Amino acid sequence: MKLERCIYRVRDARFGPTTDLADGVLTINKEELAARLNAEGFFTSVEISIARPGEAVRIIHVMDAVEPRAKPVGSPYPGALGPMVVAGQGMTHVLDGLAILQTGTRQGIQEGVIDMSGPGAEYGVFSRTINVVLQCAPPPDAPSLAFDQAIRTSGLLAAQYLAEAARDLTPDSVETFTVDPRDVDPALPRVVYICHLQSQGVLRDTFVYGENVRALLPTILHPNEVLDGAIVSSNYIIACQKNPTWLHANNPVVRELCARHGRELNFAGVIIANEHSTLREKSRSARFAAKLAAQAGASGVVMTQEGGGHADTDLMLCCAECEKLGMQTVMLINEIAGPQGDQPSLVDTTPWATAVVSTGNNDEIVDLPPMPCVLGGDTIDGVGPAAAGFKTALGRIYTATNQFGATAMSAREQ
Amino acid sequence: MLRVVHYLNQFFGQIGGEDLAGTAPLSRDKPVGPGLALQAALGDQAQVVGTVICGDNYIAENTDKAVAELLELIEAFKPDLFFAGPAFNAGRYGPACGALCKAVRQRYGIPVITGMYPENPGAELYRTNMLCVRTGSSASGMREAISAMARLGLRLAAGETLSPLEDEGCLPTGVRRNIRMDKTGAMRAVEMLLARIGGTPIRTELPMPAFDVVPPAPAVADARTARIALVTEGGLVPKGNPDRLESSRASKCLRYDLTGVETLTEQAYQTVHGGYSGVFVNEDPNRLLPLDVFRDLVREGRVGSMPEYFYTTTGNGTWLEMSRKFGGEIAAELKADGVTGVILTST
Repeated sequence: MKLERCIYRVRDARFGPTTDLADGVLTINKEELAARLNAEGFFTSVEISIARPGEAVRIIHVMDAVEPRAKPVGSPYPGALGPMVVAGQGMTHVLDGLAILQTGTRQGIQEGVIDMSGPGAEYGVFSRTINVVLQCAPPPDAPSLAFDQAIRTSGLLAAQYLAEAARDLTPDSVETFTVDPRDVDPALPRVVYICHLQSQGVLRDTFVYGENVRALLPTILHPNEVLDGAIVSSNYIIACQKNPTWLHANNPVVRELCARHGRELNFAGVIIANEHSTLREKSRSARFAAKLAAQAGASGVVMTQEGGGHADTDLMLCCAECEKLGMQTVMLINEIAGPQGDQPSLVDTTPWATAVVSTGNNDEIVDLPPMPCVLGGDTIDGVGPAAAGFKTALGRIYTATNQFGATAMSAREQ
Repeated sequence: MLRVVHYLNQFFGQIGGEDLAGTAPLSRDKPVGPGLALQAALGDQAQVVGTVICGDNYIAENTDKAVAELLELIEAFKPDLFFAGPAFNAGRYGPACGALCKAVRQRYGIPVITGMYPENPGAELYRTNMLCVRTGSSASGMREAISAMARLGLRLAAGETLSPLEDEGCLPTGVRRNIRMDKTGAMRAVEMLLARIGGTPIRTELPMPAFDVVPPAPAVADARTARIALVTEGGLVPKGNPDRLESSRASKCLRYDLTGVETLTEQAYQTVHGGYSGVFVNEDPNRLLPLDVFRDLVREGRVGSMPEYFYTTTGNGTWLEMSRKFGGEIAAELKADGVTGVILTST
């Protein structure tokens, strides 16, 4: 399987009469973009803004981040946008350094904050991207299911629309992904990545090729499929620890394993497994995911989480099963150690969990200064006016303790 | 120049031996005893501007009073950095150093450093409140302990991130702080795995926490005579969430009246829990708190009685200490109301 990601570096974005990309500057026709992402007229209004790194801007109510992408033929997020095709093959145009941020409020969606400058910008991934911020107002009586579908689709449509601007241009670089376990020295250790997704109901769902994975029996994907839009998030949990669509399609663990494939290890595939709501399902999924890893010949497993709380159980069960089958396992997990850091970091453990990378404590308090410009809304529930300064748990800051290990954040006894 | 205050017992403070262990707090405006070695180790970056001294028995017998008196003495020195001991394996001196470290850190928010033998009772009692250098059991290791304490104190005062505490020669604190590493989490994970596969020893970044074991209560012997309450951590609230219960990291548990309420309707109740999809609960809140069937059971005489209220909070990223507090409060109130059993629905 060969994927060529054609990278177009975007160094600025602005609004203008015609959507195009020239010399790294993306010009966006705002009305055309709004019309495209609201093609079915579901939203009563659509506001679009641009926020750049270093600006005195705070973005609130962040739901998802999507990377602008387009394929010469077909959809960059197949199944979720357009018909099913197997992702991970051929060319994909990628606007690098740019993110579509979908914002919104609704009962059950948890506040995500991104500061583009100041101390808040030290956290997370999207203080360093140029962000096209969408604020789409649903009709007041819209049921959650319709809202969820429209929000997800509109972000993907916006992503595709913007990346089409690169269609006939020459990319700044081309990244080629051709991982094949059969092509490398058989003596290299075979490593499998078990990527836990969270899909537990509307607004708590992750989609693979356009379907939620609530009933998923773990399955195996080629790394290219992950990097090419097979996984789309609709999971609006505690903001610091959610895995947005942007990060699924740039999964740092997949990238790291691809980069070392054939040199230090043999990357034998990505197993996706759902974090379930009941112990019966968790046990079923853990055992089956471990079985698949063993079947793929793995001697080592990297495992990631989305969310926390009882999702800890999914990981601990799966870790124990992998270790019992003789596969050494490293997990990436964040912590809920309390504001002082003196509380238990997890809600479940196993003696097998001897190799864990911490991506930080959600509960540590950070002090955000006033910010003159706020996008995505005006007020934060439980805080008040978003332009004011406030203290908050890191939990509110989007992707601050991301469990794909996207940042260098960690926690340690001090 | 950093201002340093040092705490010593009557023996190291050169007041006297066991016969003077009842000595009340006093202070000196210069280093005393081990403080001279401390000053030498701190060099010209910090100055021991004060030493506070208290008898072992005085502080052991009335810790709160002694700590308050010592804090008053410390106040005069305006410290930037605080040292206590080292106390080695001394059973009264260790807890005294710990209690004072805790109090000084709470009042001033400055780094506090002590040194103890791991089995000193003070080491475990106050571990989350201080940085404690691992020492031998006797004062023969004074010079090493003092120089390690000085080095760590200067680094903490400079805002440095410490290496894993074991490497720093310190006892575990159990206190996790966010730090930034040189590499991303993804890189560290892959490197940790390759090291494990290659047989190189690795160190986990997150040792597994140890939990309390809560033994299940014995079963209610006869439900027909029992008084059973309904409690949930599923974020159930009256529609509109009038008391602003949080969707995660709850700061409160709430009690709502059920007088005259036979069933929980979607018009009157909802969930605000942010950790699960609320769709099914919002369609029929009895799915979260089974009031409808419970009313039937009481009517049919299969359950003796129920109080006319329920308790609710959000168990989503809620840290343990808060949960413990909610649990204690709810249990005490229910017990006072003669409740003998609880149905606690979790999500």
